[in-house]
Amino acid sequence: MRTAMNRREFLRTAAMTGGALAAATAAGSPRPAAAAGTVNWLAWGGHVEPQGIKSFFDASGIRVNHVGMSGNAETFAKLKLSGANQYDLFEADGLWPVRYHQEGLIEPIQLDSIPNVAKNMYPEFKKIPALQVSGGAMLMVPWGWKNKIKTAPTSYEVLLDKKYKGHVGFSDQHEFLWPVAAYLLGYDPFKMNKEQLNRAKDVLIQIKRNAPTISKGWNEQLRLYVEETVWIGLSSPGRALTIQSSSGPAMGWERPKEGYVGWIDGDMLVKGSPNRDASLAWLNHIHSPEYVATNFQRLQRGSVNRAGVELLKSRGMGEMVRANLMDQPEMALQMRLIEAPANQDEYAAAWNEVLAAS
Amino acid sequence: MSARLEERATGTERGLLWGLLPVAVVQVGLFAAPMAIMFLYSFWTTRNFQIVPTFTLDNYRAFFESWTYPRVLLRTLGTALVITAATLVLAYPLAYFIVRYTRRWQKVLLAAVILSFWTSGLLRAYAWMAVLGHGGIINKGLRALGLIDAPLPFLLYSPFSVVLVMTYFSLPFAVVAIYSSLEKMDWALLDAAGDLGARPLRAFWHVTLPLTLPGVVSAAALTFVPLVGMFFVPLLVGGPTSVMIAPLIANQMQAFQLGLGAAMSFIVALIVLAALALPWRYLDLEWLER
Amino acid sequence: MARRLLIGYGVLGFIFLYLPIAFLVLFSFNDNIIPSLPFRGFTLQWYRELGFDFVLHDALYNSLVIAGITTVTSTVIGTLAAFPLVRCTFAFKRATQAMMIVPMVIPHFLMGVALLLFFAFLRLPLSRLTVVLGHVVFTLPFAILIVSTRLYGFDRSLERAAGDLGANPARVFWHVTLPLILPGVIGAALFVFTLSMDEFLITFFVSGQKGTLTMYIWSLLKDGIAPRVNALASVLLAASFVLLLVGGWLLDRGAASRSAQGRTP
Repeated sequence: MRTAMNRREFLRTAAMTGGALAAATAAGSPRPAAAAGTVNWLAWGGHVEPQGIKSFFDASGIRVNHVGMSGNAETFAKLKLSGANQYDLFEADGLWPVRYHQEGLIEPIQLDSIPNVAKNMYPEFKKIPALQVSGGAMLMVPWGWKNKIKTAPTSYEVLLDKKYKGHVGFSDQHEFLWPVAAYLLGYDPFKMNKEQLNRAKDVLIQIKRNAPTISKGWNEQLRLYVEETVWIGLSSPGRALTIQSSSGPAMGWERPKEGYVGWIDGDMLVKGSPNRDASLAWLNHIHSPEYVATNFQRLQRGSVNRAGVELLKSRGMGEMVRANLMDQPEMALQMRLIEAPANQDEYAAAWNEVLAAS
Repeated sequence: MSARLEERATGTERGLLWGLLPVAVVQVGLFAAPMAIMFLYSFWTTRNFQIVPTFTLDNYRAFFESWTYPRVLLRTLGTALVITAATLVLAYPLAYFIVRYTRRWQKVLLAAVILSFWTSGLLRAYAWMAVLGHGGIINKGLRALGLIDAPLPFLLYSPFSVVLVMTYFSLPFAVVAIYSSLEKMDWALLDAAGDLGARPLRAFWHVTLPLTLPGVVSAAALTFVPLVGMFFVPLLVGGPTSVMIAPLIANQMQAFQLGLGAAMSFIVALIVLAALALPWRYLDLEWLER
Repeated sequence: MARRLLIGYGVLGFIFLYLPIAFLVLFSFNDNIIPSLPFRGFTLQWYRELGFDFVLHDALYNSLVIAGITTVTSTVIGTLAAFPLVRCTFAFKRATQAMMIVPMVIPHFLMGVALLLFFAFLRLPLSRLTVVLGHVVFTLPFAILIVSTRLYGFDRSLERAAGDLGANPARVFWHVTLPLILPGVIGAALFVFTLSMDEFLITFFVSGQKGTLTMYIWSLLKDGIAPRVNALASVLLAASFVLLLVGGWLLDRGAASRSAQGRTP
């Protein structure tokens, strides 16, 4: 009799303890501010808000050391060459985290352990299937998203039209250009073999000949659109409005009939990082509505942050928010996410040929 | 007494030679060794972000077999030659002006030349984009004067803009080089030529130019060689057909194509060494005898 | 006639040299987010933004540290090497002098690629140290050259006189030689410092997680809208100008002290 009760009691105590522990983890560590430290953050330059870094430092004493990244493949190569433990937190788009996970470079994150994420993120983004691991942890904490589509007419073919020579936008973001060629030729953008890459390469060279230059970032692209050097190109919804509000011409956009890709970018935690707590604290900070809103006001990119969206609407940026489809998170889950091709070497060689061609 | 002095002199001389040790360490450790490693890597390949350290000539084969890579290299060399020529033609008169026609202001002007190339190169290239672009001062100015209707397309994002901006970058260096050569010239010779009845142009062609030729040749070599490695200028102001060898190799490295990148770099290194060796006779002591 | 043409050309030449720089300064005060005309109005906003751009401050700090270490290293090693190169005769002297020049003119991207592979081979992680190493190797020849130039015109009878008066070589160096070549050494130091601060390509290949000023400028040019770039350029220009003034003044003092002793510079 005593044993049985003891066992039941024991189980109850165990359950309560377990529950308490779970609850404690779910609530997240309280303001992990105590330890000053550093977070080495490899991220897109557009995600950096100088004011946000300062306010974070004032509140927690943690310095965020930001290093710019230029592309997913480039970042992967850099980390393979000089080691991932130079950084604590770094970013990637689409399904690249899967590749990083395969290589054992990152550690999955419990989204609910980060208060601002738990509270503010659209639920749809918390459960992207391809990015989930066992136990519901995510490989990446999503931060922003964009549909990469065109401006105006309905097919990618218009980019090849000689009529637009010298006025077509062409960027150095090769991961978004391969899909254009692939869709035109009817291939899978991320699974092209050498033959298909060869043909895709020719398509891209043709488009390149229609372009005034190879632009290297949104800053330059915006200037080209505003100056009316470039009339048509790949972009995201909402950019049209940005161009207009920078005293540029009125523009429209369309989803090409062949299909389109998009990205969801976010942050990943490096496995075995010594600044783990500081990194999670920083993640918490960049998901605060203030940070998100300030960044959107500066750069207008889609956000996964519902509280941020509400804040922006309350500041009168409703039109921009709608133009960027930010209050329609389900759209993000309908696009084809970019991923890492298995034959990265062949893609790299083909891209070199595109660059070198005259 | 004097014998002892001489002895002391050679004693310290031998002591001084040790001063060459640190620089030798730097040259070997940070220059020769990396070049050797690069040479080594050029015989290795990479598969899927992993280095495959087995000896192979595949990288060099890939370079020569493709039509594109050698073409980019030739494009780079050709453009570099054009820029060098333009730079020398523009720099010589400017150096001449500073040497001959400025006495009080000479130091200031020289300093101004040097100051211009102490400003960050990236930012100066960026400024050129603003000047040459569709909304830039040249286009806006010409339109305001009514000389053109639409912005001139070739000003920016063309071979023209690459040559213009790279010439701009090479100019200060060439001016200083030619200046030092002109300064050492014995101007009395020029006066003598005048006395003998030669008109200024003849005097220049037959007296000044030959005397300063070594300076010009070394200026040419020292201008050409860095131009082969032009990187951010073609990226910022060049058109889609102006991709040069250096950004292409950088792309290789960023895509983890280390073997191919190393092989292409090594080929460029050979060309650079050849370009330096050719005017060898004029190069070494020219500078040191200022 | 030729004279007037040349003078006109000279003026045009200097305008050409300074045209883009003038625009940088102009746009830094322009109340327009895109760097182009029209001039919308005067503002100091971009300069203020520089004030609280903490990523910039970190990058600037890193660049200063790197440039500082590079300057000391290159100047010391360069001075040590200048003496034997100028005063000693030894086999292969010309060859050695030529070898000195190569790292000075070799394209920086070549050096960057080679160094990157070298550090990867040694499994040396990229850091401020690797950047310093990269900067030292290409600035060293400049330091050697500048100090050598100073040494060449040096009148050794002063040293001999000191030796005659009983000073050992070390004292001669410290009290006679060094003060007289000091302007050259400082000139070399200033030059190396500027070269290191402005270096882009080598830093691009071998820098790690500590961003530098040039890397920061590069990322500003590519990503995001950043009118404060122009303000930054103007500030850097002013700083270079001050450095140049200081350097020039020091060199002038050196020349003056030498001519005061009756030597022609």
